[in-house]
Formats: sequence, C-alpha cells, structure tokens
Amino acid sequence: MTPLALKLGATVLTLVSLAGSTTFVVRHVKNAEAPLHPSVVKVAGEAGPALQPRTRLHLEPSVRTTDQQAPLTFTYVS
Amino acid sequence: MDLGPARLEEGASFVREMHRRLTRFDPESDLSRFNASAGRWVGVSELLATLLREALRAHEVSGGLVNAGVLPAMLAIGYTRDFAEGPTVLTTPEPHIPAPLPDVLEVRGELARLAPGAGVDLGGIAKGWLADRLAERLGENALVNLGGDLYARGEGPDAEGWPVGFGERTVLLRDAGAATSGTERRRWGEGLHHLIDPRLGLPARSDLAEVSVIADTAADAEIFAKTALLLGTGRAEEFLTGRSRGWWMR
Repeated sequence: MTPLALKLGATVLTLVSLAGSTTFVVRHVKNAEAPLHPSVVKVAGEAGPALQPRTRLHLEPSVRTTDQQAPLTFTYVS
Repeated sequence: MDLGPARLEEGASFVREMHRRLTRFDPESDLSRFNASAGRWVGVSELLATLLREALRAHEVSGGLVNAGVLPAMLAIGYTRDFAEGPTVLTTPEPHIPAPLPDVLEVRGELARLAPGAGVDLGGIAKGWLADRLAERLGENALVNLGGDLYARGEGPDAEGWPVGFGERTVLLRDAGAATSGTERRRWGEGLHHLIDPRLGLPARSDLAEVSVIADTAADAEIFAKTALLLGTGRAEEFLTGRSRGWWMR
C-alpha cells in the first residue's frame, strides 16, 4: 500500500502544481503591445519653456561689480 | 575713511538721538507726542516736520504703497513693542486699511496735523533718511549702514567705490544708497510680519520674499525696495526700471 500511496500523492501534487501554474499564467498574460521603455517626453536640445530663476539681479552699467574685494558691509532686512 | 574714534562716536550719538526722538515705542518721543495729538494742529520740531514731509514724498513716489499711516494696522496685528524686547503678542489679524496719507496728514512749516484716529510710523523712511544725513556729517568719503539701509559717499578705500554686498554679488558703490525690504524678518506667527500692505491693511502677501535696491540715496532705495516688494514679481521690475541703479530680488 505504501508505494501506491506514494505514487498517488506524487500524482496529486503534480496535478495541483500544474493547475496552479496554469491559473497564474492565465491571469498574468504578457501585453504584447506594451512598450519596452518609458516614452520619451523631451528630446535633448529641444526648445522648451525657460525655467524661472530663483533670484533676479539687474545692475545699470554705472554700477560695477568686483570679485577682487570682499564687501565691507551689505544691505539686508532688519 | 580715516575717521577718528571721536568722530565715529559723534556719529553714533547722532543716531541715538534721532532714534530717541523718532521711535514710536517711547511715549515721550517727538513722534509719539505727535501721534497722541491727532485731531488738532500742533507745533512739531524741524526734524519731525522734515520726516513727515519725507513720508508724504514716499507716499507719492510709491503710488500710495509706502504709507506711514499704517500704524493702526501695525498695532492691530500685535506689533506693539520693539522687537528687542522679545516677540510681540500673537493676535488674529484684523484688517485696518489706512486712508491715503495726504488725507490724514498735513504739514505747514513746523505745524502739523493728523486726522483723528490716524497714526504714523516712520520706520524705514527714517532709517534711510538718517543714513543719508549721517554720511553727509561724516565727510566726503564715508560708508554708513543703519540696519541694512546704507549710503556710500565718495570714492571708497581704493578709489574704485565702496565694496558692498548686494544680493549674491559685491558691488562698488559711489555716491549711492542701498536698502532691502523683506518679509522673512520680524515675524511672530503665520502670515504675521512687520511689512503692512496698505491695500489690505494686513501684512503683505507678496510672491517676493526680499528686494534689494540701489538708488541715488538710501531714502529712495528704501522707498523703492518696499514698493517693489509689495508690487510683486509682475510689476516690480517695471517700477524699478528708470528709478533705480540696480536691484536684486527673490
């Protein structure tokens, strides 16, 4: 009886595994139309809306700047 | 340049004296006594008369955005004492839209009158004006900075102008003023800060956080910076073009 029981158990296990695998594959069918990569939203070098700078500086030509001298003081909110 | 300690102390003494006479936090100051006399003509000092006229000029130049008559609005939002004395009292702001300054303030010589219920805060107007006056007193080559409002007089230490931090750059200023206006300092709660928008009667809600301006004088720079900040990004540059020598904003 024992060999027969083992054969029967192995057969049942095989059938259950087959049924489970089939169910999983059926529920997860690959979409043949799906793109392989995300679509390209912007081509490098393509003109787009300019980003607004976080700060804006404007100086009349009469106002010179320097990188050579450290500021002695600065203007600030008090 | 080359000012001796005595000269510098004389300048510091001048500033302390001006503060004593113009602060709204001392009930005995020239300004407080004038505010307390609202409703009648009173004699005022030559100094106060000059600054009241300066306040009227600021109102005109700014198209009404720099209105020294915002004192009731400042008090209503809890700005009742000097920040040096600690944070002000947190309040729920009630809008107090001030009347146009010329409608509530008249100055004739050394006589002046405030309309009943009106009050004046000279704040930044006095600071910029004082920076200009102190630079005059200190001589032909001097750099004065009063709490961020500054005036650079003369050619500076190396005859190229005075190096001054302006936004993220260093500029060389010669016979020019600079000032900054912003909403991120002197805050004491959500939406509560010292810069009142007279159109709202409440703290400004500008999309700009800070504006620095270079102009012919510190007084003008102060007026222009505050006006530009209140106008916001949409109109600030248009306002400053042709008036200022430069600006930085964020």
